[in-house]
Amino acid sequence: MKINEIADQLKASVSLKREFKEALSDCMKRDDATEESILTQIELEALLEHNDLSRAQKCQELRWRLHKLRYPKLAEAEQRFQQAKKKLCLPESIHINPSDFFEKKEIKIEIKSRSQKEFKEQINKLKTIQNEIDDLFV
Amino acid sequence: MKPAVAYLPDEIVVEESVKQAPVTQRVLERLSQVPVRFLPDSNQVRFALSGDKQAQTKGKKVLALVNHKGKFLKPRADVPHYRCYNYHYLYWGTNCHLECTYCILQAFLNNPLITLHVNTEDLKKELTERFQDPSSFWRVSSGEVADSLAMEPITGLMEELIPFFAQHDNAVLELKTKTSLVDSLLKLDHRGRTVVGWSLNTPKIIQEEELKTSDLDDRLAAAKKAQDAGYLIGFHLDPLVYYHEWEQDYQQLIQKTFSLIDPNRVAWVSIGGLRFLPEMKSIIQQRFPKSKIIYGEQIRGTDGKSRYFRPLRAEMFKKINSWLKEISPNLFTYLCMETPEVWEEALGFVPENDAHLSQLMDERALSLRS
Repeated sequence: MKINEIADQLKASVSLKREFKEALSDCMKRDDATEESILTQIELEALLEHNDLSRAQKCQELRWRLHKLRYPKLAEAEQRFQQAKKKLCLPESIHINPSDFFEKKEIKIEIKSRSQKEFKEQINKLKTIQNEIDDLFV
Repeated sequence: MKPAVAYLPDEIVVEESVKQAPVTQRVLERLSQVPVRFLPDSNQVRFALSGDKQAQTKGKKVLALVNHKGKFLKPRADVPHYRCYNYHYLYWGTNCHLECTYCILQAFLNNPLITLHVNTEDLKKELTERFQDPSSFWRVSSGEVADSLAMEPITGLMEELIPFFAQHDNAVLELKTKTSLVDSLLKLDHRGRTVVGWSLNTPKIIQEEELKTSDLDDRLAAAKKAQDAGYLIGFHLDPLVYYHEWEQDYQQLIQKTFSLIDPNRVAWVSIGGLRFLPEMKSIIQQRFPKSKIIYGEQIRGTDGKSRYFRPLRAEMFKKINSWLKEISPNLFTYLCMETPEVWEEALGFVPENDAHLSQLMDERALSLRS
């Protein structure tokens, strides 16, 4: 498979290589498509020729493109969640994550505080976004 | 109309201890053309297939009539976070020849033979003892690890069990099938203690994924016959499969069903999405390479099973439920193995727990008893 050569060229880890192969093979079977046509669909050539991206970044981008093709609705929800989270402009010490694959309709908020002052600031930040988090509930 | 493919094994293996059992005698008489081997223990045939990549397929060609030494009534496994009603399943036999691509038994059973537990006197004795407490109510499914009726023309087992359940006021027997093999049940005195249930799917899914089962028309004609014979009917819209034309196809399926069936004599309709153990993927790829059922947007649920991404299945269930309620607002619908989130999104309410759902189902069954 061509994907093997590409994964080697990008120095992808063994597990990532396996992930690429599985997503590609699933899409080929689902769509009755050839490897060539799937790789064209995700615009692989342009990605590989991209001069501003490192090998690791190309790997992650390839992973995302295959994931998006294999799970379009899930990928759309993930993208929506990330965009909604970005809008909140959270400090690095506050993490908001959905449940795995959005299986539960809940979010997990994690705060890392090193002092009471910091904690109060974080709580105040959370108070300011309390009416803007509806988009996080997929 | 296309009926289910009749079961015809290449060989029957009979454990010597059940040589004289009435079910054994019946099976041997009804399959008199099939070679028979008597053995002290059928496990040697099963073990001979272990490690064989074709074991699943080869095993279905052997019918084993065995003496079951364990319990016949087993509780449904509890699955945290996914809600379903409480029931027991009847361990009268295992495996099935109908070859549904997605069948969980392919990964779940460690015995590939089609196996019948023919010591039915022990089975009835155990049930009689368990049913003795009049304060408890027993929901018993006979379609958990085998299709309830696929083997009926050979075994006559349900024909024996339905009158048995008719004698017990605190139990209900549910059959679950993808066949139309009801003729031998129509004249039985069931006293409303048996619900005959059909798993229904769209013609496309039946043709592509439920390979040796009855087609939709044949199943519905059988359901009509059973309803006319006074049986309560159950339907299982499970597994729902997401594909491009799913809305149109499932809506037509519901309309067709209730153009023949009186919804007022339907005990319940369950709704459930395709779900499978992760190891099923390679089994399906190997046994049914044409099947595309595993390439949907299935994610890993908190119970480890692959199932459709939640918003996708909630959308399906909500629409299916609304089409059912358009037929009759009184239809009792429930979700099979679903999270409280999906219950809320799709049906607009969440049973407090499994026991609460069970209570609702008991009330429904009792209210429809003649």
